[in-house]
Amino acid sequence: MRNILFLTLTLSFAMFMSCDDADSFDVRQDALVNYVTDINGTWTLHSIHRDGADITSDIPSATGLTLQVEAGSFTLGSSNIPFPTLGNARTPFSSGSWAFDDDYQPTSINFTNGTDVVVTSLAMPLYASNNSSMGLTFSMGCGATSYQYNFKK
Amino acid sequence: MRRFNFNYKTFIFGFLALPLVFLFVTSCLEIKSVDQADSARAGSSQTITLNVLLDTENNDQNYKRLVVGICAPKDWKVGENAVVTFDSPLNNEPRVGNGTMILDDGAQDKGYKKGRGADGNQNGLTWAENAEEILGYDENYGEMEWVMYYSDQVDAGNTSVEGTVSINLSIGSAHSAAKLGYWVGVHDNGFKMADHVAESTTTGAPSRWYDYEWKKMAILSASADATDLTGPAPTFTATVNAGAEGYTFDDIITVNFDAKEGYLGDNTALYNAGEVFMCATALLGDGTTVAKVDRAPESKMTLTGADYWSKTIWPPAYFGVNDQIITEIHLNFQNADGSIVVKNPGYGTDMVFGEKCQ
Repeated sequence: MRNILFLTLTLSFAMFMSCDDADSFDVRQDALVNYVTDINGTWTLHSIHRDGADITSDIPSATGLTLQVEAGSFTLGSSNIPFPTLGNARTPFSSGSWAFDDDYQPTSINFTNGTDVVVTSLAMPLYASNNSSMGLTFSMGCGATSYQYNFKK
Repeated sequence: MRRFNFNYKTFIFGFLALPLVFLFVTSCLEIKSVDQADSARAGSSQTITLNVLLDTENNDQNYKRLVVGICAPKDWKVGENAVVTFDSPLNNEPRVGNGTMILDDGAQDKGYKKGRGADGNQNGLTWAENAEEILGYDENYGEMEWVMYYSDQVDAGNTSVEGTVSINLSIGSAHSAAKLGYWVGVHDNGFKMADHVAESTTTGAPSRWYDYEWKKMAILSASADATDLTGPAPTFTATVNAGAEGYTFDDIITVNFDAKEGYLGDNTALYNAGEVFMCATALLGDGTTVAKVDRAPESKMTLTGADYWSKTIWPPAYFGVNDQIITEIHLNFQNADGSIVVKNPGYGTDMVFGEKCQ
C-alpha cells in the first residue's frame, strides 16, 4: 500500500514537471478577418453523379454545360441540358440571381428567378477565393433521387 | 349590369325538340346507376347493383330475355363464382320479371344464346365475343374477360319499368385496381345500333338497344405482385429508372431494353442485333404527343450487357418540351432500318411508363 501511494505521488510529480508555460505565437491580423467566398467566373460541368453513380459518359451532351456566375447573377450556357432550375415541374429559368446561405462559410447556393427558389447544396467546401472546383448537390424531379454536378473553372 | 335576354322563341323550340333528342339518343335499355364500392378487400364478396330502365318503346317486347354482361379480371373467375339475379315490378306469370340469371356457356345451341352484333343480327359470335369486339376493355389493358348471363323469358308488355340487377362477386387478389364493366341488353337485339333518323329535325346520336357502364374498383390487400389493370401493361422487356427511389420525367432517366425478355421467356426479335434504336413517344399534360421515332443517331442505344441496351436521357430536352408536363413515355425498339420492331411481348403495344416516385 505504501508503495502504491509512493508510486502515485511520483508519477503525479513527474506530470506536473512536464508541463510548461505555453509558447506564444504572433498571429497575422488578416487571418482573423472573414472573407466573402468568391465563385465568380465561368464554370464548366465535367462530371455527373446520380445517387452516387457516375453517369457522365451516359449523357455526354451535358458535360458542356457552362454556368456563368457574376456578382449576384447567373446564366446557364444552355437551357437544353439537365439543371435544377430547368425541367417542367416549375417555370424553367436559365438565368437569374443567386445567393449563398452564408457568404463566409457557405453550405448551399440558392438560385432564383424572383419567383421560384431552387436550393442546391455545396458538395465540398469552398475557399474564400481562387476556387477551381465546385460541387453542387440537388434533386431535379423525384426528390429522393440526388445528383451531384462537379464543375471546374 | 348585363341584362339577361329571355328569348321565348328559342325556349319553346328547345322545349318541343327535347323529346325528339331523347328519342334518338336514349336506348331501349338504360343503366340508370351502378351501385358499386370504389374499393374492396381482396378475398371479400361484393354485391353490385345495376339500376336499369327497360323502355319497350311500344314495340312487341313480349317474351324477351334480359342479357347481362360483366367485365372483370380473369383471375376473379366470375363464371364460376358470381351469382346474378334480377328483379322488377313485372309479374306477368308465368313469365315473371325476377329470378336468378343463367351463365351463358357460349355453346350457341339455342337461338337466344347466339350473340347479335351491331346490326342486331346473329353474327356467329358468342355474347362475350361480341362484347369484347364492340366494347373492349376500356382502360384495362387486357387481363379481363366478359362473362354473360341471360334470364328466363320475361313478358315486358308495352311499358317502361325500372328494375335491378344484383351481381355477387368474389374479389381476387392479383390486381390492385380494375375498371369493371357492366352491359345490359335483350336477346333479340343484342348490340344493335341504328343510325340517326335522317328525317328528324334533331342531330341526335345513333340509337342503341343496350347500355353499358365502366366503374373503377381499387383492391385492398392485394397480393404483393399485384398489377393495376387500369395502368400500363406490365413489361419485363424494358425498364426505366433513375435513382433507387424512382423518377419523374424531370429526372435524368435511363431506359433499358433487354433483348432476351421476349414473349413467354423467348428472346425478342432484336436478340443478337448489332444496333438498337429507342423509338419513344412522350404523352404531354395537354393530351398531345411528341414522337422521337425516326431512329435518329441520338436515339441509338448503348450495349451495356449481354443483349442489354441502355439509353440515358433528360426527357424535357430529348423531346424538346419546355412548357408542358410529360405524363407518360411510350417505347418500342427497332433495328437500324426499322424492319424489326419490338413492342410489349404478349400485348403488341408500346411499352408504357409513367412517373414512379416514392
